[in-house]
Amino acid sequence: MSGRALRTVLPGLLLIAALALLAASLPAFGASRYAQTLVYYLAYDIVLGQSWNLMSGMTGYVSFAHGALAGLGAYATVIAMNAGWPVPAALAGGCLASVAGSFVVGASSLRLRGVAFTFATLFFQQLALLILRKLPLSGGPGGLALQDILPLALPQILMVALAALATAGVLILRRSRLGIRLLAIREDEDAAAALGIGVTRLKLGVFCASAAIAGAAGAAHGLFTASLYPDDVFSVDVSLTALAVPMIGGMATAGGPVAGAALLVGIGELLQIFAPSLHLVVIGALLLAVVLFMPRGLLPFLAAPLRRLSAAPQPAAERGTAP
Amino acid sequence: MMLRVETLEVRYGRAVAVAGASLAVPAGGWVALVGPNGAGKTSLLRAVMGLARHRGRIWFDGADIGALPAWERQRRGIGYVPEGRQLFAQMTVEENLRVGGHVCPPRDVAAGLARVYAMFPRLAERRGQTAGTLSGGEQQMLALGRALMPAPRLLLIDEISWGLMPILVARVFAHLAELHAAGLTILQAEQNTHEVLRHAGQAMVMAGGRIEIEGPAGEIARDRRVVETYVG
Repeated sequence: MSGRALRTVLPGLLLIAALALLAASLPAFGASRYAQTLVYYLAYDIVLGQSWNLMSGMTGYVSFAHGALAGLGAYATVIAMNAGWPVPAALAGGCLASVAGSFVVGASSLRLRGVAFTFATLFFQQLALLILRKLPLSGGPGGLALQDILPLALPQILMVALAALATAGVLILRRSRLGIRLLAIREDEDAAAALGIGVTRLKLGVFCASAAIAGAAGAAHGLFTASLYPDDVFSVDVSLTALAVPMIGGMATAGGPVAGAALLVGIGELLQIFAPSLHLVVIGALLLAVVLFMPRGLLPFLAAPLRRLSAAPQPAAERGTAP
Repeated sequence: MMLRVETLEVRYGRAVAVAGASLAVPAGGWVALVGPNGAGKTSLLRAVMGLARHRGRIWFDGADIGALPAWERQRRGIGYVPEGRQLFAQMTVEENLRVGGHVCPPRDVAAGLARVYAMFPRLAERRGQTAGTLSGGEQQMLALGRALMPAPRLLLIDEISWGLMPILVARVFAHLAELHAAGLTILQAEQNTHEVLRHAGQAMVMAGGRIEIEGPAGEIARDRRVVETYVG
C-alpha cells in the first residue's frame, strides 16, 4: 500500500478506532447491561458480515457456510478451553478449525466456476451439524458447556476489537492490488485469468482468510454464550445473518456490513417487542426489497447521489486543463 | 531474440489447436500472425501468455518461461490484449486499468495510469465511467491501455481491429506504431491482413496449427498465392 492510498483510508481507520474505543468503554460509562448486550450483538453481526463480505462480497462466490465455519470455531475453542488451554491458544485453535473446514470445502469446489461452491457450502453446513450431533467430544445434541466462568467483558471487548479489525481490513483491501484482483474475479473470471490473475489460488486463499474471521467470531461468541447446542450453533440462521448483513448494507464495501448490522440489530430489537414471531419474515422481506430496489445495498444506494454531485464538476475542470 | 517458441503444441482434449509451431520475435520487432479462423493463432498467443496448457518450449529474454504462471510472465514483461477485449463492463475505466496493473507495485500503478492517460486523453476524461458504457473504439483503447499498465516489453495482441470501423482501425494501428517506435516489441494475430502487413516487419502465415510460410511482411503481402491460399 502506497503512502497516497494509506492517506485515503486513514480517516476511515481513525473513525473505526474511535467507534471501537467508544463501544469497548461502554461499561466504564455505566451503560446498562441491555445496551452492552446490544452493542455486543452489533459487533458479532459486523464480524460475521465482514467475513462473508470478504469472500462472497468481493469474489461473488456466495457462501451458505459462514455460520457453520463460525460454529466450528466456537466448538473448537470451548473444547480447547475445557481441556485446559489458555484463552489465546484456544481462540487460535478455533480460528484454525474454521480455516481447516474452509480449506476442505474450498479446495474441492473452488476450481469450478459458478454455483458449485454454493452447493458445497450448503452441504458442509448440514454435514457439520450431523457430525457435531454425533461426536462424543462435542457433547452431542445435549450441548457443551464452558467449564470456566470468564468475565463477560472479555468476549465483549474481543468482539468489538474483531469488528474493528475486520472492517479496517476490508477498508484497506478495497484499496489494495489484492482487492482489485478479487473484484476482477467477481466481474469476469475468464477476463481476470486472461490478465494473469491466479483465480483458483486467490479464491481459496480469500475463503480461508474469511473463515479465519468467521472462526474468530464463533470463538468469541462461544466464550460469550458459554454453552453450545449443535442445532443453535449450526442453524442456517447464522449463515443467513452473515449473508444478509453485507447484502443489505452494501457488498464489497467496508461500511456496508456496519450499516447492515445496525439495521438488522435495530429491527430485531423492535420486532422482539412488537412481533417476535415475524423476525425471519421481516428479514426476508427486507432482503427482497434491497435486492429489488437497491441491488448494490443500502450504503452505495445512499452514497450514489452524493457521488454524482461531487463528480459532476470534475470532467469540466479536467477539460479546462487539457491542452 | 526476445521471444523464442519451439515445437509448441496446444491441445483441447483430442483437438489439436497448435501442432508444433516454432517462431522467434526479435527485440524491437513487429511480427504479424495471419491466417484463417481456427488456424491456432489465439491458442499460440494464449500459450505464450501462460493461459493454455502446452507442450514445447518458450523462452523470453533467454529464460525458459514454459512452466511459469501467467502472472509471473506478465511481471517479466509480457502484455496481452485478448480477443474480444474482455473488459470488466461493470467496473470503471480506472478500475479496469488498475486490474491491468495488478502485478505492479503501487508506485508503478500510479505511473502506469499517468502514462496511459497521457496516451489516451479520452480515457482520462472517462475514468469514472463504467467500461460497458464506452463506445467500441474507446473500449479497444481501454483494452490496449490495460495491457500497457505494467509497461510490457513484449505485447501479444489478438484481433485488435475486431468490431471496429475502418477509421478506428487506422487509429488503433497508429497507436501501435507509436508504441513500436518507442521500443515496444509486438506479436500480433490479426484478421485484417492488409492493415497488419502494412505495419509489421515480419509475418507468419498460420494454418491448421502450423506456421506454413514466414518472411518479411511486405513480401508476404505481395505474394498473391499466400493471400489466396491461406488468408482469402
